[in-house]
Amino acid sequence: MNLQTKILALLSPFVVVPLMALGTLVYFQLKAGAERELERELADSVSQAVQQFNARLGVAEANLRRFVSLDLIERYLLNESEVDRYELLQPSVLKIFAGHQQATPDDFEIRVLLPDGYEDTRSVLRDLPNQTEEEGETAWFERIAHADQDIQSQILRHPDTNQIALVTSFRVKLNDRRVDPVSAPAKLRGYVVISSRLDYLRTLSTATGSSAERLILFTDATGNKLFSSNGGEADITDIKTHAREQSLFVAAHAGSEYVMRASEVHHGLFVVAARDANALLYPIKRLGTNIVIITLVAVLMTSAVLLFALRSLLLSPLEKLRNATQTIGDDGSLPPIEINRQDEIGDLAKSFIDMGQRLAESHAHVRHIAYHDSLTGLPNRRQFADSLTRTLHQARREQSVVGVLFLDIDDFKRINDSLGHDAGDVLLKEFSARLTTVVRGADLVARANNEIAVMRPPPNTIARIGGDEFIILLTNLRQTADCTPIATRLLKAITEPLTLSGEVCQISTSIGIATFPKDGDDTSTLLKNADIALYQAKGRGKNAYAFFDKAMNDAAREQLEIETGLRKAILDDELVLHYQAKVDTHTGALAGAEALVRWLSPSEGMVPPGTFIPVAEESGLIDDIGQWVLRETCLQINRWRAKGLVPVPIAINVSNRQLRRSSFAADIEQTLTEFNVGPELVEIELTETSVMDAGAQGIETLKAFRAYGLGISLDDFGTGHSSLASLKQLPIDTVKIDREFVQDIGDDDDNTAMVATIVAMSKTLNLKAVAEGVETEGQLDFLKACGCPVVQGYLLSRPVPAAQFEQLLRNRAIHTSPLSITSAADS
Amino acid sequence: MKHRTINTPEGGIQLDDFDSPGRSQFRGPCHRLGNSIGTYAGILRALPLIAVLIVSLALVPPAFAQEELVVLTWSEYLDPDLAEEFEKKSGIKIRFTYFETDDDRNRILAEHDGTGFDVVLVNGSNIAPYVRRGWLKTLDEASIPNLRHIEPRWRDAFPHAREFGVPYFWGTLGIAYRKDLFPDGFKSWNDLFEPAEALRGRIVMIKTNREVFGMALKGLGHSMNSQDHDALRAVEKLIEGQLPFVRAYSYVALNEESALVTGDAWAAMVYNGDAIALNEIDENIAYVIPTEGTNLWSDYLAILNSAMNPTGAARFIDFLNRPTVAARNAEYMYFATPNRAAEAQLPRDFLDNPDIYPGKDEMARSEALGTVSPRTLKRINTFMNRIVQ
Repeated sequence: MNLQTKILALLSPFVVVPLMALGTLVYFQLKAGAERELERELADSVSQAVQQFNARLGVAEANLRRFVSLDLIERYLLNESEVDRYELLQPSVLKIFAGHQQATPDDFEIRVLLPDGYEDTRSVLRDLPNQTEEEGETAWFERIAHADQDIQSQILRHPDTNQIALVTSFRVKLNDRRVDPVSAPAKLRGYVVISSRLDYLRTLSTATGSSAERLILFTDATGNKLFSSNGGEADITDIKTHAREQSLFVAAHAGSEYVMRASEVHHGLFVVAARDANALLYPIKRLGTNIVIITLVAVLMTSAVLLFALRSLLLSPLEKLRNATQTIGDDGSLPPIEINRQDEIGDLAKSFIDMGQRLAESHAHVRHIAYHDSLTGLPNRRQFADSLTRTLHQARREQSVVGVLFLDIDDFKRINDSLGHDAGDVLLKEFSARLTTVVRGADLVARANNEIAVMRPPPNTIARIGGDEFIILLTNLRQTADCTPIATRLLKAITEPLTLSGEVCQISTSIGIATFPKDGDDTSTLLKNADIALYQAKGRGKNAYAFFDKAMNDAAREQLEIETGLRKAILDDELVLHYQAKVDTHTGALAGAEALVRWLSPSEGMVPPGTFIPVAEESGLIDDIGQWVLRETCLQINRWRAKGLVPVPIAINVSNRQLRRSSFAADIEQTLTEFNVGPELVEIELTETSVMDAGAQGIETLKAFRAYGLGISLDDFGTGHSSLASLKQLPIDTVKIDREFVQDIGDDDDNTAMVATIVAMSKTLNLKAVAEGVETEGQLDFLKACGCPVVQGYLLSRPVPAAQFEQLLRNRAIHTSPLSITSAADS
Repeated sequence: MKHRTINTPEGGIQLDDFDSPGRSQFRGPCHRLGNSIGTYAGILRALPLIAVLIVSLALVPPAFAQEELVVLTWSEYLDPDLAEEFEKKSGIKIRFTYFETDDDRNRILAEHDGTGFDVVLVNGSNIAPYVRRGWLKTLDEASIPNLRHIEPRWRDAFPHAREFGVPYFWGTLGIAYRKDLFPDGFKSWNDLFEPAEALRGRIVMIKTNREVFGMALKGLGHSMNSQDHDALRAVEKLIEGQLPFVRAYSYVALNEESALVTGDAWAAMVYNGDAIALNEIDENIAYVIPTEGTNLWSDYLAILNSAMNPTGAARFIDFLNRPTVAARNAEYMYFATPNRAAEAQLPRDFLDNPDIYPGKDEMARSEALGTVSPRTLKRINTFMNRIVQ
């Protein structure tokens, strides 16, 4: 969820909720108003109907009173002779009734009943069959006969019409003035009864509401519809309750829902005013819908305004800052930020610009560090690779020649070792300064020559890519030979004397040159070929330059390939150790082993040590290999220990390069301690020449080894020029007789004698002699005879992998002789 | 041509304030009927007036007043010259109260329980109920010597007639019709109750319940006094079925604007004397008594028990029965007189007029209204009340 959504989500409720609340409030207010209006309307309709009915009722009762007050009617009722009544009076009475009925047709029947309920006189205008003349037993007559009031009005279903009628009756009590005493109580003479149709109620309901929306219904006490403005069945239950409560209720009529209000018009007659619920609710519903729409529109508009304000005030500047951040992140440059405001955002932008500037500076600095050598300030290998790629790209277009000059300082390692690292650093700075001076000069010349060039050529580049390895990239050359003057000038410039640690020194450099496109088409080929050319130059006796030649000797190429492969092999664990047993000639027991490094290349198979060890020594990889051998030896010893085997001392070969390193002794001690391997289990083997070359430092190292407790054996003894006497000066405890002497035993008397002499001498000097390269029984016998204590060679055991050597460790014996082997096995 | 314009006698009460020309010149034996509508309203409006009159009559002290005689009768049922003559000779002032129908008279009398009048003209069939109500005074034959001229047959024609009534006129009920417009004429009452199509809306029926029922009964072959349920039922059907042909239940006017004269009506139930009067106006108007016979009616003069002036009443009745007076009156009214001495003085053509004096056969086939049960009366009343609207 982004900021915009969040802020909207946060603010929207403040807009939506009040609007919704307002809308809801208005809706319910209006709805309540509509309902009040409806209630009033229905109440009016109901009361109107009641009033009209009551008015009619009043008229009916008035008519009744008038009839009864007529002398004729009075006489008629007082006349107890039936025949006289009928003969003399009934026609007149009927005429009065009929006259009234003509004016008021709804009074469809007017009757005179005798006290016993006999229907004495009946006036009807239409041929209305009379169901009975004896009304005495009917319920309604019972009611009027026993009512408190003389005047009674009843709503009932008239038996003659089978319709609901209003039956108004007057119970007539009279005294016959002729015969009765004045004080005598009035005597019941009969009843005058008017039956009125209530059809006008139908017209009443039609007049008040003729549409299906508005209805006036009249029902009986059970809710059966009697009259209404339209057809359809009403389904009104509990009409009595509704009428009593005078409240709105909902009921069905003719299949529609109606809101109704009821009232009891008269006993047994109810009026219901109804409004179609749907028609009624329609405006309210539409109102609700409108309110919802208005609310939504308001919400949308408010949101839009809010969004616009949010965007212009907050989000847009934020986005600018974010883009700026991205730009800074991408390339470290600070883009212009167009935020010029006097508020918090403005402050933020200012802070951001400040920060951005500092960040850009820092970025540039880091970038410089990443792409430049910290010592000399020159571009480093990475920068150079970029430059070369770009340059080649351009050169391809312009079909120009590019020269790659690979330089290193002759004997820099020696200088560095003898004068110390600080002096080395000074030397490197001075060296790079001189290169720069020379190349700048050439650069200016090149530019002058290319003034008219459309595209400015990339500048010549000097880079430091390794300890004392530099590369100069010469661009925009016309031909390969153009490199020569610069190379010459470089050689000359470097050989100028300089002062290092207070001493005036002279150094030289070797330069290998490869050119594009002749010597390669890509960065790596050009660099490799320039490197090969550098070897060439070195081979020419240093302080020289050499152009890469395709015919350059394969050895150099192979050596390079081996070196490359070897670097990889060290990292990828392609090296393995084989162990060649050393055997005690007296006991035939295992006296130790020499660890021999083997290279198991996945592509080349087993690479012979004679092939890669010289390369390793030349390239300096021998240090890394030596380190690896030491660690692997320690690991193997521990593996054996873990299997419960008792290890024997393992001899490892050390090159003179390692020996020269002042920290070598400490390194070995540290490693052994690390692996918890005692010094008695490790032996150092050195060649005679190595010891000689190592000089004072080497002797110190050896002394340190001795002090620590390591055994030291002098390998290939007899081939060098050192005398046995000089051995005494050396801190060694074992000499290994070179295989050349051993193999000559029995063939060459001198060498045979030599072996015997060495063995004897070493006994004298208290050195242990070890004969290596023992291949025959004769050699072994001789060595035994002359008392050589330990032998090593194919006859006894070839160098074998650790797993195989493990067997020897278990047996602890090698057959120096069949007997001894047996005895060893027996013991 | 005996047509005369008759003025309302001074002091008389015109009960019906309708002033149609036909009415004002009405002259008929027993019935003066309104054109149907409004009759009731007229009566109602007249009621207070009647009350005032009666009260005033009752309260006037005799010492103050000239001797008076209050007579309740049909209007124009007496030669006015004769009334004048009596007043002159006797010095008694006659105050006439007129009724329009028998029902009117009954009502007026009933409302006052048979008081307020000296002499009342009553149809034969109503004598008995009046007597029962105790309204009528037994005749003192000595005070009415001319009673001896009365044909005894008429004195005994109705119950109690002899003791309480003096016959005044008698006659028949028949059909007056336009022989020029309806040449087929009428032979049976059925021709009237189940009329030819040409008569639709052209018949004027009399309004007296018993007479309508009676003639219908006769048409169906019953006695006009039959109380047979089925017969009455058949009559009711007949009368109901006749309604579309009936222009009105009323009594036709007897002047030139009468519906019969104008031709709006082609036939009407009338009393014989009135038919003759109409014939005097238009000779195309004929009178017929259907073959089944008819109602043989007679009117009586009676003295009320409550009469203020019974002596004057007897003198007035006696005066009217003087043979010359009775003869003049009959000739004036075209009605047959029950007074034999008067009859003797009447001209031959009067006596030979079959419309006034029906033939023997006709007389034999005719009846007088007899007594029926109260329930039958009620039935007829109720039915006719519905029909005659």
